Amino acid sequence: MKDIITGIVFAVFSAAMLYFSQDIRDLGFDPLGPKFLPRFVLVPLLLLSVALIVNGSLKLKAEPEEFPEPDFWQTARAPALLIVELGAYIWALTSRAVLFEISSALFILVAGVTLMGFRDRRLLAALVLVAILLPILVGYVFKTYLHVALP
Amino acid sequence: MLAPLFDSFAAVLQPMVLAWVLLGVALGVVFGAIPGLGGGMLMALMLPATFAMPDVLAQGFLIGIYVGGVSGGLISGILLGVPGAPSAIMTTIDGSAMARKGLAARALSIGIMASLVGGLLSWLVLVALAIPLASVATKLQNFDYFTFVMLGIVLIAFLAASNPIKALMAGFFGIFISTVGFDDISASERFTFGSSFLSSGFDILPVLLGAFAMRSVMTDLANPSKMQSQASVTIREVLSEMGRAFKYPGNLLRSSLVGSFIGLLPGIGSNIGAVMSYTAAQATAKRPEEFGSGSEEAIVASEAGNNATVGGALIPMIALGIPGSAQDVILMAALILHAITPGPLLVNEHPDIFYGVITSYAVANIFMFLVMVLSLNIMAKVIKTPPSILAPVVLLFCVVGVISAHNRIDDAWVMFGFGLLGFFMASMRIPLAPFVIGFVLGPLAEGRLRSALMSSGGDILPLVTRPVSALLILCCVLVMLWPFVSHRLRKRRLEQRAG
Repeated sequence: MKDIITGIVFAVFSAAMLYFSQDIRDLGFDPLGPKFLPRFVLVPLLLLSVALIVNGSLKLKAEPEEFPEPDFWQTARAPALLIVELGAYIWALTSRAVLFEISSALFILVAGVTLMGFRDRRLLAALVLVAILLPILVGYVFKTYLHVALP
Repeated sequence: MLAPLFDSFAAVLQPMVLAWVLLGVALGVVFGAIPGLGGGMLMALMLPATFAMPDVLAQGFLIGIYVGGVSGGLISGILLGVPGAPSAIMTTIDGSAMARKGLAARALSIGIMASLVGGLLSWLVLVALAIPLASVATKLQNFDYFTFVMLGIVLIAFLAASNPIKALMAGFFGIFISTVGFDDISASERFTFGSSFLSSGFDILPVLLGAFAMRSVMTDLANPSKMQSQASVTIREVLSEMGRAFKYPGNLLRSSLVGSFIGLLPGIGSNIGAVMSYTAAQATAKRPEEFGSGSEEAIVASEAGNNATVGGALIPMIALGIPGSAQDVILMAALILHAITPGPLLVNEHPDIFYGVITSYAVANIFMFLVMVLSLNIMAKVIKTPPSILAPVVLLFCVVGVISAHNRIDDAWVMFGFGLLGFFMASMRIPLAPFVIGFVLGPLAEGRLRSALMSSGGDILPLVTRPVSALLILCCVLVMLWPFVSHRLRKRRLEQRAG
């Protein structure tokens, strides 16, 4: 099933990009032009995706498999939550709505609690300490000495 | 030649010079291990400070940072799955896979020893062939560069051992991703959909940190049992495994030579050195299918290759005054600040500087080895941090590192996007190595071919009439045919055995 999904995703993607490659303006500065390489790789990518779909379908017919795997939702929970939290953190940074030190401290705290819960008090105390001190230290070094434009 | 070399050793082996080289290496290792910083940034920051130093100290300090910066990435790459520097990309793939199997100490031993050997072999090349090799490198033309890079891309076929279709797809996809953005040659935009964000294309660091670090954190959280098996790392354990790198003497030698040669070529860089050495090692390995899933040979190739590029890159810088990388530009600037002009006259006018650079490089490699081994205790403590604290901290450093590389805050979104893509690829069992190789080598091949065709007026013939490119094309054809030939040979051997 994984092969079929991969094949479909890449087939749709490469077909769409092949279509959009028409929009690339070729002003004729060089003999090869800017469209050459993308098309040169998208065509075999499309063909390989179709081959993967066919291959995957034949394999699935021969050996049916359970999809998604039984423990999928259980294993995907932690990474999915972290992805949402990281997305929110990056949004806070890029929108410059909150100071780097505050958004970073909140990210470490929320992500840490998501992963460990509230049961281990000592670990929770360590997490709070890291969440407070690390962003201050990183922010100071990167802003003051490395001149990085953090909010 | 030997007398000035020995004199330079006497000059460099002074306590003060040694102390500055050591400081440079230590700082370089730290900066190299933190994503987004790297030795290049530190060299640029330290350049003004070197103005007040005597020239030997300044060169020693900067070369120390250079060597430490290239090597430092392997520690975070292996232990955390986060390539500190782009030069550690290939090491991260196999090193972090070994760490997950509980073989972190072995992976570190092999990586550190291969770095040392690669650096020292490249130093020998620097001593023996600096002047003749530098003039050879300047004679190579765009067609030769293109075929050389094509050889690296064609070797992706060898990464296709377990699932050839997915590996080739990953390789093509990597090349495609590298084409997004503003095309310098034609001044047109490709797949930007009118977005200024996409116009600048995808820089290597956010792509790699997303595809490696974020993917690594996410897959570890999805399978926490694998994360626990990283085991502890002690100096004793690492030292006891040091000899393992020498199980692959041919690989060490070949990768060091490939790395030195790549370093010679202007504008190529240590990440390409690692990629080319990796693919060459896989093409000749007895068990190529292990590459990507924790191969010792892969780490040897990648680390010997990337460290050797430093020595190779120093060759055109001191012998011809042509910097091969951004770090070489800074080294050159430091020399110029001291009223010394690198180039063909340097060896006669300032033999102390010419050989001082060469000697400092050797000393820096030895210090790099010591610093890396001694810093393992600290790194070992880092990996013992509970995943619930380590994962957000690693992600925070990735975000800050990505932003600081070009001082561009939106790069954090690129990292995020490629992290999701990397997680998808891991879930669908799509190998990452061909994607990285395609992404790194694709633009280089395209740029060189288009420049070559422009200078030849669209004539493709030099590709086969120039001796170097013709030879490399022949190699490409042989490489492409090899899987079929070897398959037939194996089949015939089995038939003979059965018959």
